[in-house]
Amino acid sequence: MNKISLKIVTPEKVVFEDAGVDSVSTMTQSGEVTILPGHIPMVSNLQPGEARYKKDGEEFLLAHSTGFLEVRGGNQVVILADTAERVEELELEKIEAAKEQARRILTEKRNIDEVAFADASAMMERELARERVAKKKYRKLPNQLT
Amino acid sequence: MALQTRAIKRRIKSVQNTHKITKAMELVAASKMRKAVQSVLGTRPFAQLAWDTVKTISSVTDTSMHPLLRERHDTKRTLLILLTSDRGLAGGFNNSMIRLTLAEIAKQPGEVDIIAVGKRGADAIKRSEKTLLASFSDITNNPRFEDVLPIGKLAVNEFLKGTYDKVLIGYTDFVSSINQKPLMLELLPLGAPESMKEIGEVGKKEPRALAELRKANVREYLFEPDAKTVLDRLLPRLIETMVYQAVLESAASEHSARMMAMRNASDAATDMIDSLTLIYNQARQAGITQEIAEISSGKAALEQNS
Repeated sequence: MNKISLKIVTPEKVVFEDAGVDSVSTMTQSGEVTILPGHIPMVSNLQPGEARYKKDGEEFLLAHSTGFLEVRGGNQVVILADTAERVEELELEKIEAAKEQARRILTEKRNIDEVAFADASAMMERELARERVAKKKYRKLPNQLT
Repeated sequence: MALQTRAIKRRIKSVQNTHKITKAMELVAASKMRKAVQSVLGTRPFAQLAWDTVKTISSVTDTSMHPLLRERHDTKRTLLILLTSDRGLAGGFNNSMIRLTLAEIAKQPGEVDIIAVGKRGADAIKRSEKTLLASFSDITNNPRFEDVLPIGKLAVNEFLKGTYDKVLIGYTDFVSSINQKPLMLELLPLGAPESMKEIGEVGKKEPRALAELRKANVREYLFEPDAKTVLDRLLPRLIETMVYQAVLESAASEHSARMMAMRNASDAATDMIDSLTLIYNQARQAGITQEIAEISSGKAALEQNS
């Protein structure tokens, strides 16, 4: 059976690399897409959100911010994101703090500083995506225990 | 005699002080270099993949589709981004970059304006009486993406406005800590894939994705939602990434060049101290010998008289 070789890269580092993935789902500008092996070459803009990939029946989660999704010939999928974290790296408290800061800037700078406002809304979106992913992790853990 | 030995001693002391300073600068540069090299190596995969993407896209789609891809027929004005350091004492680092830049300016048809990053480059450009469009400083030390953003934005905006028909970037490629190579690359237009070289010595080989596309004989690329929306976001982003990568390469090169220069200076100081110490000892010995000769000849004269 065909497998996808998935690579998730940010300007800082290569977050994830695996050549034996069964499917990849991410949030693009026009909605969620799922890439299966044998997909034709495609380029798309990413929206902050969660990425899921399946490997051997198990599902893994990642949070990513804006960036690009590229499907290349030969079952290669490349995600170029500004930031991306694996579930294990996410901490709810930190996300909460960052969200609070973004909210503060959003209310303070509204109609005053357009650049700061745009930055803060991007930050807000990113943190919301992280939060969604992180909360899923915490919901999942008790299930695994039982 | 005593006078000569004192002069040599003073000389040794001053060389020793210089040695201490160059040694300290070497250590500082070495630690900065480690950090800079780490971030260069961390960014390379991203820059490489993004670059591959654009190369592949521009070879399978119509390049006239987007203004940043389109090649212009005659180049009237060129914009050159020059990356140098803020401070000197880095061996030939700044000089070789500036020399390459001036040679490139002479080669270009039409006028060339410059964006200088780093004070050294800005000073050199002012001396050569070229137009300086903008000058950025204090970002080469531990550069962050946000600091570099305005440079890319400025270049893209000026290019889109049509003020310039070509944008070049000159930076020093970090090959290894003892080898850095000044390079001049064409940043914009992104059009013709054959003329493209890449940032970071990853080589001129055809990207794997493109080779595989050829093999599969794919002529089309799917853009989601559509080509314009994707390219509008992807291309400026790529330019910013490339400028960032170039700044990082340049920073890593600067610190390693400085480290090497300082190491050479320290070694030279050690050699100098060694040879001066030898001369000092010789002079001291000569002084003692002379004194003994004077005493014994005085004694001999006394014995003869009695």
